[in-house]
Amino acid sequence: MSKLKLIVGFVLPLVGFFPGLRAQSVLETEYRYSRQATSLEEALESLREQGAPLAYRSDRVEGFELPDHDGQRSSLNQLLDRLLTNTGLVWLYSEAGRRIDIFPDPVLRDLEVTFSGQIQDAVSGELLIGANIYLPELRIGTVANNYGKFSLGVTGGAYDVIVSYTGYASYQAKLLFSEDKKAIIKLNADATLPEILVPFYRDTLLPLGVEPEGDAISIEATERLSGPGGEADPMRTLSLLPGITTGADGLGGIFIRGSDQGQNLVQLDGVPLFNYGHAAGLFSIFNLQAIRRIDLYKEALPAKFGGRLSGVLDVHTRDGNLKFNEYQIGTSLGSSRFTAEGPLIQDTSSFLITGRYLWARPFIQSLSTQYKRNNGRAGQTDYQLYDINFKLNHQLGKTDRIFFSFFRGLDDYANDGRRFQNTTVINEAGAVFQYESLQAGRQEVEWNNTLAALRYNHDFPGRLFANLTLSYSQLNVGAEFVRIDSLQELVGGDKLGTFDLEQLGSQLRRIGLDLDAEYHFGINHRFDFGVELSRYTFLTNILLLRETDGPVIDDIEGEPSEELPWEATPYASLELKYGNWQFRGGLRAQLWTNAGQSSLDMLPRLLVRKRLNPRLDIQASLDFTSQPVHRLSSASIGLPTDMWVPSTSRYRPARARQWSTRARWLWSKYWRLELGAYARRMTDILIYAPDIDADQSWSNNVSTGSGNTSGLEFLLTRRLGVGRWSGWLSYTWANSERTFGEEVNLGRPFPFRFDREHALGLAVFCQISPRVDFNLAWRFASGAAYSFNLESFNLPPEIEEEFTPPETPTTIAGQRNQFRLPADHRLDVNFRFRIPSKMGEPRHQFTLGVYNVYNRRNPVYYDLRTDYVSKDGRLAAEREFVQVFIAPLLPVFSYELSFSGKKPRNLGL
Amino acid sequence: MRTLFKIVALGTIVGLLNRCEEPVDLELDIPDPQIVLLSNFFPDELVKVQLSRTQSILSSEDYMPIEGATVRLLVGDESVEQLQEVEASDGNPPFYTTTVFKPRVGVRYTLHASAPGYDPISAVSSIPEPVPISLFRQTSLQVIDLADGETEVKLGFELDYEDPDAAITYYHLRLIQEVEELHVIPTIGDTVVVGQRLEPIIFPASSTNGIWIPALSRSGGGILLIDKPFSPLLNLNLTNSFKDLERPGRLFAELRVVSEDYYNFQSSLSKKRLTSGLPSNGQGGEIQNNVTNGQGVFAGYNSVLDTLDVAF
Repeated sequence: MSKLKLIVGFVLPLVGFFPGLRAQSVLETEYRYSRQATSLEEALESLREQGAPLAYRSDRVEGFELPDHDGQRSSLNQLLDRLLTNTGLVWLYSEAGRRIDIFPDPVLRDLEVTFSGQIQDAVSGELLIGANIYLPELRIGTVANNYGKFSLGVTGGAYDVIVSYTGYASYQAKLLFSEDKKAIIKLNADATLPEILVPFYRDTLLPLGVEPEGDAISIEATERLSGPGGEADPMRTLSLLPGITTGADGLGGIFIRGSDQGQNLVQLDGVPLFNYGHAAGLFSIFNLQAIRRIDLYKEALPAKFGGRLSGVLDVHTRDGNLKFNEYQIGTSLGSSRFTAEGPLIQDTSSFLITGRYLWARPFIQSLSTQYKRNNGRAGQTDYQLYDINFKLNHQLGKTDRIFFSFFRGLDDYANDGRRFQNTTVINEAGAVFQYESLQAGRQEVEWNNTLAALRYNHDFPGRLFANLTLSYSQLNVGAEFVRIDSLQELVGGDKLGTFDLEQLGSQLRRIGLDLDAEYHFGINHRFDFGVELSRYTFLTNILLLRETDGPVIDDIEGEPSEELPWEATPYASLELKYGNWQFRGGLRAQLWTNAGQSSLDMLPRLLVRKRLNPRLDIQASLDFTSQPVHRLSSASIGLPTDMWVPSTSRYRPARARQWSTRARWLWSKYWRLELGAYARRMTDILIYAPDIDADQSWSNNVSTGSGNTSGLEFLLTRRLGVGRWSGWLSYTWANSERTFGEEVNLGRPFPFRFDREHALGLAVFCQISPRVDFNLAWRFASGAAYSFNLESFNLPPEIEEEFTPPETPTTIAGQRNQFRLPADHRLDVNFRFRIPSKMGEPRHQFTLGVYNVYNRRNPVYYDLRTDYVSKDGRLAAEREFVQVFIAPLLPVFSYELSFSGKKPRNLGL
Repeated sequence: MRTLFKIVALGTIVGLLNRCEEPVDLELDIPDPQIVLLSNFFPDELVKVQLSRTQSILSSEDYMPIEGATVRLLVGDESVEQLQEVEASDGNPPFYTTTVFKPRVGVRYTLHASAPGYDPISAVSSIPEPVPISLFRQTSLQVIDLADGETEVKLGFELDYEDPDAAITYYHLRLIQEVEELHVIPTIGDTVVVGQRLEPIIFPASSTNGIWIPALSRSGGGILLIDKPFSPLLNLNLTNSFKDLERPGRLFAELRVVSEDYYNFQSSLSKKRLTSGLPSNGQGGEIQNNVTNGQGVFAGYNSVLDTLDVAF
């Protein structure tokens, strides 16, 4: 503004005497703007009403707050100078029009400045990851990164800045950008604006680059949807989205676009997790109270993500309240939990600790014994689980921050059951034989995750952020399965039968050193780069033993095998935005070394997005991925005992490439429609070969193959926060198949175990009153693929193995996964009540509802059960299929109590 | 209120952690039964064949032989003999046999069988050339006296054979222990050998480093091998127990050179026996067979024999 002021002050008087006089008289005329004026627009309007010949566009002057003023009369030029300070606007007297034009300073338009800063929760100081920063006049914006920081190139001028975040009141202000500007923007949580997703801004789609890269999974929606027993879980929310399937009742985890659970990258605070399920996947290890944000990536994967073939679930924990202490305790019918957080040094460092514990272990033991007895069995079930999150966050000066996060979760499950059956047979000669059969099983499974990360975060001068992380991740799995199937003639007869023992043990450790950096340049361009160094330790041990009454001359003892591979992966990604086009190209170079053998995979990533109009955009992406660590899954139900094994000289890393396309259409102010399509080809994937060798080496027991998945996805969203009803409806049509070597299904293609052709997800949220909401979720999915052996044959008695019971037929394997289980569907409903409390008093929240309202029995698998009966004077085996399901109609209940410590006065709200 | 909460909570937890079961009628479309063929043939011996049928997985029937079938042996297009049916006797199931024809090494034979109500089956196989045993020697011996006069003998030995390099060769190595039965001369107290019997060595039902144990006891125990999965020699340690008035005699090694079909059937059957029903195994694998339109195996083999006189 200063240059134009010079022009106005010195150059214009030289133009001519009379015009100069006229100008002088106009500019020297004294005015006083209204005392009631609070904004620039009102002040200028007030001057104009008094006759000042002002000309301006209202959109240029709106949004500026007026500094305190005394309402004194001043000359017009003095008033304008004062009013337009820090607005990026200048004035110019136009002799021809005898008026004063007010307009943006043209000098600023040649400037390119950086707008950077951090977005925080105004009350707790928590960093708000993924907050949107948007400048509507320029139609540019960005997203706060994983540390709540952002950087944006801005053409000089004064613009509205809108900062929004799920569940928070938006910040909006007019800011002048005449030089590089840094800002800490604090948002206030607003319970009346609990948007379920963040799909759009006002009545247009968010501009390119302003939306987070992944699909944000709302914590609020997750809390409202709840789960079995009242245990809210983000995996429940995920399973309602297109492209995501699960086993019955969530067992087995989530399957993103027809991929196996182990083919998804699940990260907690940037550190890969190798198992994220409690209770075999019935719910996840993610304690909602510790979670700040969850992002799902199904396509257009940023180059920083790698190591898995399919999607990414990026989970971030909260940092803890920097201002005052807060506490939450709660319980569901499954577990109890607590959270404590607060400052260690106010506004500088904070802690967060959360824990969850299954409290009913002794009751499970006694009640399960009773339950089994009532069902004609002996035995007991025992279960224990807990998880704990701990996080420290410390600000080191203005540009540095250090985080330490720790997670540990454990599941310990044991179940044994015994079923005796006595059968009396009277043959045609009148002889009486008595038989006793014993069918018994014992399963003991323990798995635990430990994860720790030390992260140093630094803002370099300019527009460069860097992050250095030292991390440790460990998964221990130990399992033992025993199965006894015996038959004995009670009076001196032989005991026939088998004793099966299966022991699985594995430990996976990863120590990682990761450097991630993001550099912002130009108006809205971005360059990401980094390197990941990982050292793995795999310890695996398999012991299979089938003991019979036959001669045994040696014992089989499992020897754990240890492998110590390395991984080094540099990556870089460049993102450019030009008008309505957005391009992103990335490359990962994954170098994997195991026992002296190396493999290098170059993995390009491409994204092209075009905004066709403010309500419609389309995108296409291509993702190359590689996976050097493989999860060997059980063929039947996906037990948590699935083992991780590394790529070796014999088995190279698996690879995949995926083509995706997506269109998003903002149908109306409240409705958004999203359509997507994808096709993925996977090669060098591993699977357990059937009939595992009792040899201790896993590598002799696997088969390599390929997979194809494809699908169409549909998502209709009604945003929350406007009106009483909101939610979404999703539909997926999908196909996923696998082909392996001759040893698996004779080399023929077969459907993926959790291939579900059709899947529907419906989530409905109704705000009945400010204190009560009603929530409903309905899922429907085509039956998963399943294998049955339909035929068998018996060997002639003379060549029958002497120690094999004659009633045990040799089964003939049918085609793998050739059958379909019945469709899997379920309706869950609940009401959530919040008891009002005064500021500073404890807050209460209840959830009451029903899980599986119409008591649908979704089969997990089928078992073949044998009963012995007397038939035509001989002992005969009768076999029938038994459907195993896990969660019938169940109540939902949870309670949560929150309270705060003493709040400091200077919250800066 | 607290009691009610506790009851509901516990019911929920127990409900979640205890799997629920209920019998179901899946109305599965069970395929029509097929003929199951079992036949291993040897040079200059009559060809014997057993035929039975498959059954539903839910069936409780035992072995179901097929009688009245027409079974022919062919070389190329030419039928060399129609096998005769031998009826069941002494609890042994019926079988079919050639009465004159004896197979030779290197000739491809086709077996064709048909019976009313079943799809006809056929299978092709030949007898491979024998492979000589080049080394069979004792390396260690330990005799431990147990209670009640029993003896435990730990015997180590080495074995090698002249595996041809040119092609993949499949083997079935059988070990047969001679057991001498002793009699105590009452007045003198010394013992004399009054009889011998042969006992095949049955390895544990497992495998080591890709060496599979055949599942069928008719095969006489032993191990299945492809080429030489050991280097340079096969080292084995046997532990065997002998009752009072028994002692080990010679150890025989029979090296069978078998067809690929013989190997595949035996090893896949063995794997299935080992692992079916284990949680990690799921459906289990295929029984690899060479019978078109049916199940089972028709496979020729050849063999050589060597003897180890154990030095006690």
